[in-house]
Amino acid sequence: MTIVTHILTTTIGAEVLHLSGLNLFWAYCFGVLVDLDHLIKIPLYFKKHNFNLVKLTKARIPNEKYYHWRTSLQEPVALLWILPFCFFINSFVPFYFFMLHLFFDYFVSYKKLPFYPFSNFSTKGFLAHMPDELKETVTIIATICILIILIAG
Amino acid sequence: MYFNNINRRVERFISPMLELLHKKCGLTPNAVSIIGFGIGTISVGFVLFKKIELALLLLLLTIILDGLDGTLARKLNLQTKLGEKLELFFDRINEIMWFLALVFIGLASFKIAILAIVAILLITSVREKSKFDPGFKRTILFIGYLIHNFEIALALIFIANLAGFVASLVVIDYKHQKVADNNGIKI
Repeated sequence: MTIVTHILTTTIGAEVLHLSGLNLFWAYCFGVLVDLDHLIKIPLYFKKHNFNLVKLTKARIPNEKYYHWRTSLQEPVALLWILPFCFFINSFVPFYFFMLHLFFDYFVSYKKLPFYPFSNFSTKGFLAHMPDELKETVTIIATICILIILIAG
Repeated sequence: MYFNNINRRVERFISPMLELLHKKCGLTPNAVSIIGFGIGTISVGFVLFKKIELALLLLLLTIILDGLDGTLARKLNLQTKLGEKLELFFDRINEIMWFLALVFIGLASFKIAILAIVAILLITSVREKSKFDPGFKRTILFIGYLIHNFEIALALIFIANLAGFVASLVVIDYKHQKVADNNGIKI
């Protein structure tokens, strides 16, 4: 899902759990900021498409729809380090919000490698036959409604 | 860095002796690993009797022997997959015994010892693919002794190895994507 959905769902989660301080920080870290891992593959993506930053004004940024931007940092395999981390900080907020992030990401039909590097098993997630745009729109509308109800209540 | 310097100096001193022992008595790098493991186990015994200084001295010897078996194998061209795995296995067992011994005598909590063990095992599980290991393991125990707090030492081991594991995952992913891009394969 897009960053907008993750921000909305994380905000709802934080509201429901009445989070504040460090726990709120962990919620946004593991619910939204884990998406920053996509940046890791930017150099490879540009290299693949012979895109040079110097040519930025002249050339268009390549747009390959199904490029595999994801890394193991936002796959279920990341639970191997997130769970010990939760025990260390005595808070399971990172686990809850990471699971929330994972849940919405697995709605989008991009290819995912949930257990890489331990297994090459791949999946497209849930409801792969439905258009991603539809799922995204429904999720955004639903989350905005829930957020309004929560704030109004 | 400090321990690396000591290691290199001692290696320069002991390495010729080990080479000689290899030629005269047939001492192999694997035998050096086993001797190191034996000394490491004895050091755990000293921890249990609360003789921490002696235990750390023996641990230092284990770390030195740990470096020497590899050096000896490379010098004599006796590197084997089994030797590498044996060394790794002995190192992990030694670390686990040390951490649990610290828990047993009340110098560290069970929770932090288990977390440190988990982090070390995690980084070991991807070591071969990532070729990355921060090395923050037994040497940090000396810091624990110096600051009189093994709890902090184990926490440092946990943080360094967990961060190392996360970095390893990124490195492996990057390499995987690079190979796929170069070969025109879609992941």
